[in-house]
Amino acid sequence: MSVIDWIVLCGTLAFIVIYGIWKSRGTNTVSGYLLADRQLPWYHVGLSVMATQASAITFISAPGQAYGDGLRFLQFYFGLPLAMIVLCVTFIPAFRKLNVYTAYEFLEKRFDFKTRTLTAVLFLIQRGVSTGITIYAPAIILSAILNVDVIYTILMNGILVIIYTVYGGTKAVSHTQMLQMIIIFSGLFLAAFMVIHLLPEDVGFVEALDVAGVMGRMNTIETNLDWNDKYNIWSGLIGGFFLQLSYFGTDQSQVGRYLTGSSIAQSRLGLLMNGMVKIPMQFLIMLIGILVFTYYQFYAPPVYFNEVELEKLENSAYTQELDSLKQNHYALFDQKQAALEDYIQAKKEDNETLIEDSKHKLQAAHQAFSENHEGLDALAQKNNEKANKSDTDYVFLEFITNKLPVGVIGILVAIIFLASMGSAASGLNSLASTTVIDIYRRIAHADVKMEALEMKASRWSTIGWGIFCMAVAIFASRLTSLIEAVNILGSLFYGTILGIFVVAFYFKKIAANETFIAAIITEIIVILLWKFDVMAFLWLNVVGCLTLPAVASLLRTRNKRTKNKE
Amino acid sequence: MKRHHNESDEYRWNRWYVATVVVLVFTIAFLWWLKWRFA
Repeated sequence: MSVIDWIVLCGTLAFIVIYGIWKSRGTNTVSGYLLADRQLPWYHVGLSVMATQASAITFISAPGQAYGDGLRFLQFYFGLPLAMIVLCVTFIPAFRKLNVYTAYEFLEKRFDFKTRTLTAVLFLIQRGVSTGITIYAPAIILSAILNVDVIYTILMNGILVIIYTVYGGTKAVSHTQMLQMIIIFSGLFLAAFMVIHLLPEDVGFVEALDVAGVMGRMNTIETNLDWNDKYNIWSGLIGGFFLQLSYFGTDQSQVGRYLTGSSIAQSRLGLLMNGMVKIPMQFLIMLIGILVFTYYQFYAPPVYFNEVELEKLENSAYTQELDSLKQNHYALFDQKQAALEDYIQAKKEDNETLIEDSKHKLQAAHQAFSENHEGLDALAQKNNEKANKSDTDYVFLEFITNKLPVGVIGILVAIIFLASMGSAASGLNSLASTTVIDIYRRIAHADVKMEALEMKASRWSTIGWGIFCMAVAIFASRLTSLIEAVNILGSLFYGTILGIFVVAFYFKKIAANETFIAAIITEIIVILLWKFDVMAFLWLNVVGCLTLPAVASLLRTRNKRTKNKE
Repeated sequence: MKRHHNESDEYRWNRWYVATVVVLVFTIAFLWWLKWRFA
């Protein structure tokens, strides 16, 4: 990166931190610190919710995913708008009516202390570790671009977030997130514009999409119902609906965002805004990946996008295999390009037979080219077991740093930092809220309210969780399997926790003990289904959420019968 | 009077929910069209 890019990057980050501190000055009440005094307007709530969900990985992996796998991942979000409606109808009024700080506080009012503590502790473990991963994942990639050790990028990211989150609490988090989203959106439009500008002169936007389509990248909708297929319209609409409902309805990092709305109406509008904008935003991010893909059909892509692993391979015992794969890479690219020229020519001549013929040749050439790249993936893995399995994660960053002009690189790298900071800030803030409200307040002094003590506890727990998350991030850099474990753990608990809330809202007669036992039975079923690989993970949320009320109802009927007999 | 107010409030929100579903349907239809046109 050039000096100008460094100035742009550091300037943007410093500006965000100062803005957050300035906007949240004078916060000295628990309600102000944890809920921004419930005074935020709908667009604040909406952008804050979006910034919490969009982590750095969204901006790094999603374009790469579109590059390698096409647009089918978009279907994952189809259930989100429907989940927003259910949240507006049921969750928001219930939380607001009881004036709760956290989602788990609601559970004690409806059930009992043990159900509240169980869900709060599960949340703390899961969110604590996953916020660490939120800091770690971009740090490892940014360390490669900035050419510094991963520990420094972890510390830089973590400390910046801790500074404004500790100082200003939720107010600082929400204000910075709004600004972050504005910068992120502007940067994305800039990136899309730049890629189109870099395409060959006779290739416009429509031609670019056409080429991507021939190579199977415009696979937006898949209607076949396959239980083991991760992304199709059904798993997206149904499985995605339950996943998003549990994420937005029961995860304090999100609940804490929309509880800041100045009224029920403002919270609702914020969530509906998220429901309407989320899929188009994700589409824009992935469209950039598609355009980068088309760019690399006209200009030779690097042999391997992950430069660090390539360098390791060049200095390994596998240089001979690497050289042959490299030679194939360029030879196959030349063949593919010749096929591409034929296809474009056929298109210009508008000759149906020629178009079909050249299309098949192009697809075959692309297949051969991709297989060669898979050979490189395997070789990198053989050389270094810890190497990131997905080279497409590096596509967008490689493109940004090597193809875009000075200044724009700085902005786009800043976007990745900002996205990571936005979701990490929500994570830390929600961990502090849950620690103080569900654990500290409940255990230390349930009856007396001590504002000053709780403020102190909130600040210290934010610092404590911040240090914990950075430690997880540093630990994760040595143990990559941890990341997978955390992701699996999250999806295993989500369905059950949502099930508890569903019983709380819709099954008024079911009592605390029945729900608690049903939760344990459901969790065992979900773990068994996962262990024996019966279905794709999105469906586990559906099973968890539907089994729990069913089991709880059965227990309720059984208890009722026993009572009647007595 | 209060009852009337609540009904109109509910009606207002139902319109918002319908609008959200309409946006979703149009988004899916647009993506489907993209597949039909380019894939």
